[in-house]
Amino acid sequence: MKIRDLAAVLLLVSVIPALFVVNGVTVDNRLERWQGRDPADAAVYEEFKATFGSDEFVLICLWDGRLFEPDLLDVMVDVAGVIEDIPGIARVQGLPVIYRELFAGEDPEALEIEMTSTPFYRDLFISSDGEVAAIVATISPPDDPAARRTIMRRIREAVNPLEAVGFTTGLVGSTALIDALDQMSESESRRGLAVALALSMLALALLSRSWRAMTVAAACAGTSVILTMALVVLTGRTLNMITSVLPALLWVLALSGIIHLVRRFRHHRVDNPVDQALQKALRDTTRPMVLASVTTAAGFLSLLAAGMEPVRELGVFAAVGILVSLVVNLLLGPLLIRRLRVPEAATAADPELHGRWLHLGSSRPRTVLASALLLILGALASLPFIRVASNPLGFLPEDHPTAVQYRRVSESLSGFYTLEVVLDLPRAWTDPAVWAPVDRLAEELGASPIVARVVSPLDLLRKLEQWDHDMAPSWYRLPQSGADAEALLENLDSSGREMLGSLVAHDGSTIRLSAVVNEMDEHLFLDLEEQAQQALGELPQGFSGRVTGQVLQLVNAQQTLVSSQLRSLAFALLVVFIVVGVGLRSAKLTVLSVLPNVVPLLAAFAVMAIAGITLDAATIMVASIALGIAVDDTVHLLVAIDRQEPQETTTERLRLALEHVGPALVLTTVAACIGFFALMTSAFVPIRSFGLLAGTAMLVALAADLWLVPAMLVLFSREGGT
Amino acid sequence: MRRSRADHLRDSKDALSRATGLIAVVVFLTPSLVLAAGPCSLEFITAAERTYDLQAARSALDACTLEASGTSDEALGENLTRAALLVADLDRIDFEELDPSQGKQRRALGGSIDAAADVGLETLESLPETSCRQRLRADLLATKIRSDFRAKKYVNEMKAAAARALELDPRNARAMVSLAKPFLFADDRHGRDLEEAVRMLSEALDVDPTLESALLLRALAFEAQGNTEACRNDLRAAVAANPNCRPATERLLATAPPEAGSQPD
Repeated sequence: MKIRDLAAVLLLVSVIPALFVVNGVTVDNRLERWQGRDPADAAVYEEFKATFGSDEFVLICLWDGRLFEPDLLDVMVDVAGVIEDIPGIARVQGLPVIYRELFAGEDPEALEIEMTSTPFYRDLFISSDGEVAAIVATISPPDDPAARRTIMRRIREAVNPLEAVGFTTGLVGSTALIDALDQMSESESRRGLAVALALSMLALALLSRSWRAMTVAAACAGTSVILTMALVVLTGRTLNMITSVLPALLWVLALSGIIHLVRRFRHHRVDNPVDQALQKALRDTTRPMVLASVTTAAGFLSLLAAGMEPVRELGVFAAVGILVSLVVNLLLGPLLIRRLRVPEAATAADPELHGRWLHLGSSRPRTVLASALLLILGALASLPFIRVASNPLGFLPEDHPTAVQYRRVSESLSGFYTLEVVLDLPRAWTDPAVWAPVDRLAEELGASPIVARVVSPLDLLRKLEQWDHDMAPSWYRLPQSGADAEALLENLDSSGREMLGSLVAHDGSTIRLSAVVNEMDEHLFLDLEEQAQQALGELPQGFSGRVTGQVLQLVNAQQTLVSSQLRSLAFALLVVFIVVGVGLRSAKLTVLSVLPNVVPLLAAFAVMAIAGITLDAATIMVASIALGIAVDDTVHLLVAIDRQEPQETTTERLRLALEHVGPALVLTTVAACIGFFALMTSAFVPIRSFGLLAGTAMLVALAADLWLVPAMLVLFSREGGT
Repeated sequence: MRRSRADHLRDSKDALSRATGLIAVVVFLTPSLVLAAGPCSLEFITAAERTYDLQAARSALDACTLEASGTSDEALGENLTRAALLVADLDRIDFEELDPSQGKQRRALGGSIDAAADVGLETLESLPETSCRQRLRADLLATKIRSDFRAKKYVNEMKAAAARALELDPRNARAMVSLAKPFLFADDRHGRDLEEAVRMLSEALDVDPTLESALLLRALAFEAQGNTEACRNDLRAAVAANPNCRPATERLLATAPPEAGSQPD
């Protein structure tokens, strides 16, 4: 006992430095972290960036102001200058830059003609009706988790003068979106965790009717969370939108183990002195706690199969956290129980928890099984209605400024991100022979309803031809010959050269077509990709191309994630049942554990279908979490059943097992569910969905353990003649 | 008979008093003559040009506009054009000193330059073609070129006018200066060629070694080439040619080598 106590004290003491370490936890939602691991895709994208530069941008939209008012143009020019000076901004384009560089801050009337008389700037820098303008800041952020946030903060500060002179401004683009998600997930997860903790503690206090018992549970769960989060920091990891659920998740899982120990102690304390009661409680709970922890950890480790780094990190740290909580519960739990003098249970058994409803499984097994099968059938029938989709904009509430601005940009101006098509040409791009196929491809891409505009180097050539003819709009057309095209390019100034460099590779025979997309629906975007691939396949001989882009990388990673996670979930189920089988050394009990663990998963999926929650990177996690939670309760119950005297009847063994662990199962589930359902008040949609799905999975898991396991056991025992 | 020392001294004094008298006439009488000639006279405009006096230039433009209205006097029309060019040129000097962020002031001055240039260009339309008038036309157009957009709009016309001026009079030094401007002020992608600019300006100076505008522009070309000494020489020559040459004095101060004592260790 002394070594155990010493270890417990060390654990407790280690919380103090751990707290300092945890204080240094940072959030890193960099877009790069959400991209997949497909080496071929990544290589194409890296080559694209090396050739043409970054395709990430922030679109600063200007509404509700007179765009060509000289004084307002001056303000725009100043703002563009400030934005250009922000570190991480590679290039700024748009109305004020054209006004400054081409018109030297004079001739607003001529600027208006230049901007509106040809399609060159349309649906990119200015709306078709000439009422809305955009400043496009190409982002090339340094390799720093806070870089994009800093860039966005400085852009927001920079555009303030535009608001002051009456413009309504909006910031869209992947950088703006990830920043909005980053901020919201951080604030909402902090708020959500605080609410969930407070409510679950309240529930725990009310249900256990002992502040001492509650303190032991909270101290052990808290220690586990702090030590695990310290490990996250010490291993150089950061939190992100997915791993930010880790503290809440670990809290629930750690609470479950210690509640079982405390309840068993209080039960034995009625007839035993403290040390003896503690020893008996440890003897009762150590095996199920170890088994439950190992199975849950194995379930979480299945997330290692995911292509996305944040998902793998959640799997690893949830598994580590569960094992840490096992050590904490077994070492610190007993020490605190003794030191805090946790009292005996008010009665040897809780009559209100031992009513007829608790034994519904053994008293009405067929009804319970039939109901479960009906539920399973219903859940299976709802599966096809689950939409596998990823729309990060949908993570934000509809009235969130970023969501509103995205809608407004889509309706009035342009798009938010690009699908990039890289074309290898058989000749130099200035050769007229290649122009028709390039234009045809651009037209095909532009015909998509989700493409606001296709940016092609041939547009630049047309513009140069127009400029070369006294800027007459009727001359916005391709030059007569390749020699004319070369001559036009010879006269390009530095900003023109820069623009050309972002559209044409140095070799002159590889070009880029950027389709600016104004729709966040993943399926429509993938349709566009397919359309682009098909159009590339139909190009004349000698032409070849590939489709890439930052958003395509992200979408492909999401798609792969969902399919890989569904596969790894099946694998996790297998691993979990093998571990249960090995731990219980009973084939029958192992078989019995399958259904109660599958039902909560199906229930979570059914809720997704009914509530219209899409299956994406965030919600796919719930399946693994639900499995982890469900298997925890099942293991405690099955071990309790296994511990009963074999000569007893099945019903009696079930009754005793349920009396031993049932109240603890109810207590942990209620405390955790209150916490999870409290997350549904969050404004951040993934947290809200997580709360609903995890809470549902927990409730169904409890019902399955309390009723379905006994029902099946009773039915199987009858069939087996036991 | 040998002259005494006293005779020599008396002769020297006479010579000095004659020179002093001449200087007095030049210094005091010329402005009086200029003033007497009226603001629409060539003398008045030339004096305003040499003193960089914008107010005088405006007065000349106003007076010439008034006098030229309703008449077809060619000399009057040419003076009006010269006055307009002077106003546009002097406004342009102030314009170039403005920071790009001073949009309102730039637009105001730009408007003033354009207005003056337009008056000059309009007047030239009704005057018979001469080398001098084509040169004036080129320089008036040059004052309007203040951006890429305006360069695209006016530079070809401006070059054509300067070329035509030289065609009409191959020794028109001012036309050579006009033709050299695009080589000096365009950016690399738009035909900047400092060597060509220096060559053309030197040609102009061969014709008129004291031509202030040629000296000033060649100084700028040398400076851009990194030839500070040649630049300063031309600036000094410009000041010698016209002690009121404000751009040259300012540039000389700006390009003055640091004093030995102020050099860091």
